[in-house]
Amino acid sequence: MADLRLPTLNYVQLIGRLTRDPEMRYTPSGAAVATFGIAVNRRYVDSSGEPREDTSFFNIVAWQKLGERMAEILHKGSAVFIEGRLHTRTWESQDGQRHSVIEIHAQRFQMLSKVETNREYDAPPPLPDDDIDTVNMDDDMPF
Amino acid sequence: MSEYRLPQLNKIFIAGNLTRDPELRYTASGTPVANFRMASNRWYRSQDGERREDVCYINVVAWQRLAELVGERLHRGSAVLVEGELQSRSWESDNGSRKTIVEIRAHRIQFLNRTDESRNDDTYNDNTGESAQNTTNDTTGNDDISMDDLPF
Repeated sequence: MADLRLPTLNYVQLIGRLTRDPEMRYTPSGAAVATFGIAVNRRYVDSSGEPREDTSFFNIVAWQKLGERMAEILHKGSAVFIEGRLHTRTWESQDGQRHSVIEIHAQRFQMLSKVETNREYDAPPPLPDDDIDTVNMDDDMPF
Repeated sequence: MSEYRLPQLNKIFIAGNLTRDPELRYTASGTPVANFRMASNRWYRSQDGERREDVCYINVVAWQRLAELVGERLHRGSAVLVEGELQSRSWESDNGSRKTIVEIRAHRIQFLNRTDESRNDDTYNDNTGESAQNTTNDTTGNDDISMDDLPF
């Protein structure tokens, strides 16, 4: 029987709200990267039948055009759908200790909050018709 | 105009290998809970055209019958495909700092190693519904860091 390889599979889908405004940075080589946090709620019924709700918090990282686009239209409180993969980042602090943090590297997102159009007398801001941004991040990412 | 509620969506699919034997424990009320750590590899080409490997390490927690099967069947190095949801847990450490870890709560695990006694479908579900959240804190987790510390 032919040997099989383990699939390369690492796929995350989340819906949540931003806990802070996206922050844009640039790597020394000039690559744009946006970071922000999201809160994801889960409602469930506990073992005694009581409805419960808990919240998880995750850090999101988005590179290049996708990151720039997210930083442009997302704000603290925005609802967002994110597709991406789990990433472990490790580094050594100045005292020599190793640290690691788990974050989600976004590959695609949808803004789920409606765009506010309160300024009736101004020209209404154009609705983004390309809320679904897809960027293939697999082959050219520095991480 | 209709108003929508925000959908709840939290899904992960990840394949990899256990980095150590799983630990099976029982909560005070007798609920089985298994913890293991897995590594998931990804190959990519860097900007200068070099092939590089990126390894993601993540802790997985399984409850109830699924936990027992993990404890019985999986070992360090076992290959798995885990389906579940991501969750974060925070606690105050002994020195007063806030620790947070992100882990996967498994709903379904496929055991991918072929063995002599393999059945056709080595897939196990967590179909026991919700269970208590009182896992012991795993202090091997990640430090909560502020984004200001990022080495970019």
